Amino acid sequence: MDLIQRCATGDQAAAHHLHDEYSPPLFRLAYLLLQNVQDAEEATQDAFVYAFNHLGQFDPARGSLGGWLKVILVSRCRDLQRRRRWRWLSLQALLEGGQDVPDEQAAHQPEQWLDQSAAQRAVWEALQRLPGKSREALILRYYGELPFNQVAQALDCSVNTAKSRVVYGLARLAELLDAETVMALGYEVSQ
Amino acid sequence: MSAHPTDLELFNLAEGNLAAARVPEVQEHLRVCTACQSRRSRHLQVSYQLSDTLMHIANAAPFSPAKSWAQLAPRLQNARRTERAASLLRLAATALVVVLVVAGLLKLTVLREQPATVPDATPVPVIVPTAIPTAVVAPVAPTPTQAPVGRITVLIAGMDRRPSETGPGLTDSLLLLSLDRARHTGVMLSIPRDLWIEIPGHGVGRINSVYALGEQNGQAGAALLKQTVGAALGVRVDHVVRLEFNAVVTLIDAIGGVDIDVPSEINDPLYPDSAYGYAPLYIPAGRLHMDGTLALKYMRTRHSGNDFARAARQQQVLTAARYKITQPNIWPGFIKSVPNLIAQLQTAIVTDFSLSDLLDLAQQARDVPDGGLRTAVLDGRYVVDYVTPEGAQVLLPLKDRVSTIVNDVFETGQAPATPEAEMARVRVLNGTAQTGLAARTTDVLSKRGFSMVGAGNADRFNYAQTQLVDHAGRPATVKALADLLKVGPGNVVYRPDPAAPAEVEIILGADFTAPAP
Repeated sequence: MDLIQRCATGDQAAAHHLHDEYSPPLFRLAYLLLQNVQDAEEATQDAFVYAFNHLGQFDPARGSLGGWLKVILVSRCRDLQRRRRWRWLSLQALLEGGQDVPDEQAAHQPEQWLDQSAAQRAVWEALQRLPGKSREALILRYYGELPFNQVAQALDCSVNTAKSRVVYGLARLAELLDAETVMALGYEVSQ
Repeated sequence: MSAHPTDLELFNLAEGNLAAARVPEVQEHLRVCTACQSRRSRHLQVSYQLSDTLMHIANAAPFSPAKSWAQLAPRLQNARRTERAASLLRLAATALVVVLVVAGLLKLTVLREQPATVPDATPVPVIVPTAIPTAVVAPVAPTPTQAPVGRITVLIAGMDRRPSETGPGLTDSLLLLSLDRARHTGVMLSIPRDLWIEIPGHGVGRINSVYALGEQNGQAGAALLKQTVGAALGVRVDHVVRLEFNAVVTLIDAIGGVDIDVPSEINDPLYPDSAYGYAPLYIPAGRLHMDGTLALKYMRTRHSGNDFARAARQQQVLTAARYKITQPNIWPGFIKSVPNLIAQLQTAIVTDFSLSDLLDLAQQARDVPDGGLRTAVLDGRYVVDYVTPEGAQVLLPLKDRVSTIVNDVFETGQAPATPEAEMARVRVLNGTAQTGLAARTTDVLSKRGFSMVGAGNADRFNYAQTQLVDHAGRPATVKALADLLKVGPGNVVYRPDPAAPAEVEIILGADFTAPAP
């Protein structure tokens, strides 16, 4: 709390300290959501600018500072995604057209870190096939480790909706990853 | 064997969140059903695989806190400087809003001409009726013969946002306040939050999401809200005041609370607390002294009654506050609390008013005599229940009826305006470096029947986009010009100025292409 108070009074050293402690997990979460290093860096910085200007809104009774920062981060990521939508579309068009992605965009694609593990690659690819809302909820829950009330806050939906998105996502992942097993179990995943 | 539990039930069981009454049944089912056992363990397994994968990818992404800080530090400095400059302005503006709200608006008598009726509970067909209903509202009280010189219309948007929430929230209370400058009368029209309307540039949606939509897309939420409400109701909205609900608490506490006659008891076990839980609300019927917090709950509760009843309660609290403010004995305490009030309201009230607009409105509001303010609610007589294809329960405006009430309460009563009837003078100003463009455009428009006055140069020559400036409320002319010159709604400005040499001005920007003669 002391560090936060010092930040609130404009103490640059305190802000630096807080940034160094919290920026790596925030950046990584942003990276999973945005799948692009530059965008993730930008979203992380945007989140800090907002947070430092609104430290008064942080209430430790309602959750950790890390959680609060993550909620802010997600909203910055969503802003950024909206601004960049045209770029994602054109990138997708390139991929679908079977053309090579320009090198600077191919750099730091998440897939490149997955060369060694076929299983992880399959999970990541299945994740990409989920609806965006489920994907976001799963990432916030299973990487961000946010409690459901903060997942809901970050995604601007109710706690029940957040849960449904996670549960749907898990069921769909199971289905995508092992369609045959699921069939053998004899129930309808879509239920 | 009992029916298979849903995925959500299995998940809730694992998280310890399944309703206690359901737990034994689901556990018993799991004991005997191998299919559900496998399903549960498969989902758990997938969640572990997912965690591992995400961790692996996230940890591999290159990140340098030092580089990030080097980029962040200057931004923080800038933000602080801007913040300081803005805070002085905001302080001045807020002080005026407080003066306005307290000394002006609340001083008015709210005359409820018609009680808000509870809408018909029978399901309404999805097809929107188009027949013009008769006798929608009682005739307007006799008004002076003088035609309205102009009115100022302000949309007050109450934002339902929990203290911890960041970013723009939903504007769940929308109140349109319009003051007639010449006749010294005013109207208050409550708009339901579920109204399903066209949002310029964003398809259709609920009216309460418009502000947030505007903010998220980098435009000002206030501008989009103004435009949307204006288009939906056919009323020009001059300004938006956005206030968070906690501002209401602060204001009501500052006047020492309000006395409210609660018509029937309110029992709302689902009233939300600030942490996504419930804070059950019970208010007995009868006369009750409410502090700011209780008054806010009284205005916000949704589960007793409906959105229309809610709008009526909001107007009831405003009326009570107005009564309270006229009691001389509260002033000593109130004046003492003003500095504190200003500090607290700084961030809770946001408005696009300029200082002079505010002074103007405060003056107008004070000039409205007791009994000069009428109220109306867009209730079940003007909207129908509708379920969108996505399953959202919304209210569709009955356009004919809405325009009837709008004409009635805003006394716009005339036939729809046409450019010919408006007889607006139009002036072209060149905002580009291209010489002669204004003169040529004037020529073309004149041939198309617009009444043109001398062309000139704009204040600068680097306008990127062409703008239409309406100085005197000539919507039909502006619309005709906007269509002809392909000027988007974002570049149409209403800037009342009786001294302007023309009612409508066109400022040519770099994007301008002259229409064919």
